[in-house]
Amino acid sequence: MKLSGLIAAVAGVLMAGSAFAADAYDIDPAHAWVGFKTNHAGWAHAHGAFKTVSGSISFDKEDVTKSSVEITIDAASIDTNDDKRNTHLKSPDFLNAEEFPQITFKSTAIEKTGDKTAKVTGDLTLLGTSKPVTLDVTWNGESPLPWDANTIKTGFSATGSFNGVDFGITKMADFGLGPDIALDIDVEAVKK
Amino acid sequence: MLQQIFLTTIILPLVLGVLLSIAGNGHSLARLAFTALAIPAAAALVSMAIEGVPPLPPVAAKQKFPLLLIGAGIVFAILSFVLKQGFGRLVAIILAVISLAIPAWWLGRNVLAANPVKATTVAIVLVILAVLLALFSANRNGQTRQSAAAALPAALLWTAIASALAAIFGGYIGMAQMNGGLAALFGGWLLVRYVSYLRGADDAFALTGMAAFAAIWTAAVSLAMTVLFAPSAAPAALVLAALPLAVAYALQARGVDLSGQPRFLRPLVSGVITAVPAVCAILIAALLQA
Repeated sequence: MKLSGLIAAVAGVLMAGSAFAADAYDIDPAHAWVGFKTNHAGWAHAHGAFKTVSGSISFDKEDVTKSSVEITIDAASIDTNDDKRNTHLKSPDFLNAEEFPQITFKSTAIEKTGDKTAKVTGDLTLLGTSKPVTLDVTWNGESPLPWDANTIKTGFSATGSFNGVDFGITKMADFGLGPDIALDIDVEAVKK
Repeated sequence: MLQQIFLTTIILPLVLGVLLSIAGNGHSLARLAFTALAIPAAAALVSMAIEGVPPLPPVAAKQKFPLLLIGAGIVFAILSFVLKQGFGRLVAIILAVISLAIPAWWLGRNVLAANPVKATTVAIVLVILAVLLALFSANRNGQTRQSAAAALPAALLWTAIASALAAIFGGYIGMAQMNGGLAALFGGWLLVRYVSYLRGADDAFALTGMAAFAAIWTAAVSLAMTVLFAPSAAPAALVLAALPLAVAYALQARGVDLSGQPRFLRPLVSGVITAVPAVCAILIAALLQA
């Protein structure tokens, strides 16, 4: 009886430890903005965004390096404020959205850089090619919804960049674009 | 940028078409095998000039495409020797189905599984092209001196042009360039043969056996790529883009006699007739995108 009580106590402590080590969140698709911009022939920066974003975050506030994030973006949800350009961007000249419908980012390492900032390195998979990309992430804050105290929301902003040609978007130069694509991400996530 | 596009999409393939038309002129087994190898290989070169040299292993279909063309060219050249006595329609049908179905699946299985409209359009286009591949490539030496013999190469030109415009209106510029390059390649081939025809060679436009197979197959897989990957290409336009070859077959099978026309006009007349479905395809593609 004493032994089983001890086992139960240890198991309880371990389970409680794992439960409180990191909080789990789902990204709120209605409040997730993944924007990008890239040089357009030296005239301006062409801007765009993805309308369909989902994912999950495991956020350890005590030790942020033990956190993780996975984001999935629907490549066909690209929007650059012009229907014909959107169609072209979905073609194999750019995102090849039918052959590779999802763009994913999966964190592999997190380095704390400040009280609320970190560098999040992860594998960006675009056009079937995975390469490491580092994002500068800021945790903006966490609070319950004003009208629903049981729903806790947290929010992050992130920036980063990558070279489109590295992922096989070889046509960028033909259209005067790139080569670097800057990311501007804001996401709100709901605590599970 | 425009100079680069002009060079890769027009000049390079046109020169390649002229060169392989000169080098492949004649009906010896070696010449047929050369043409069977050279047409897909030249198309692969054009693809790499437009899209760059693909990584190994290739990841995307557009990277697999030039490798497919090179591999197919080698197979077609070997088959030219293996089937040197010519082949009947059964062999031609088996070859046509296998040579189109396997690449379509390799290139586009993601799209075929996820997009029923495209899967249906690909199926219709490939069935039409497989039948025509079999009909044209089966041994038909007796028809190479017909007055409408230019219909097949002219149809290839028109299929490539219609595919290019369907790709542009469908939002895939890279494939429009590729199909445009293919049109220039066939155009270069036709130019040399037209001069040869004017100089008295009645069989100048003859494309038979595996040479015909390779030429039609190259246009077919390029059209299949357009169907699979142009985001908003009109299915009706894509089906019509395959039909110049059907018109060409009808002209030759029915033995349409153009000998009443002046000699210089006969290839042009058969070219204009084969253009009808292509023009319809272009009009439909343009109207639906307007």
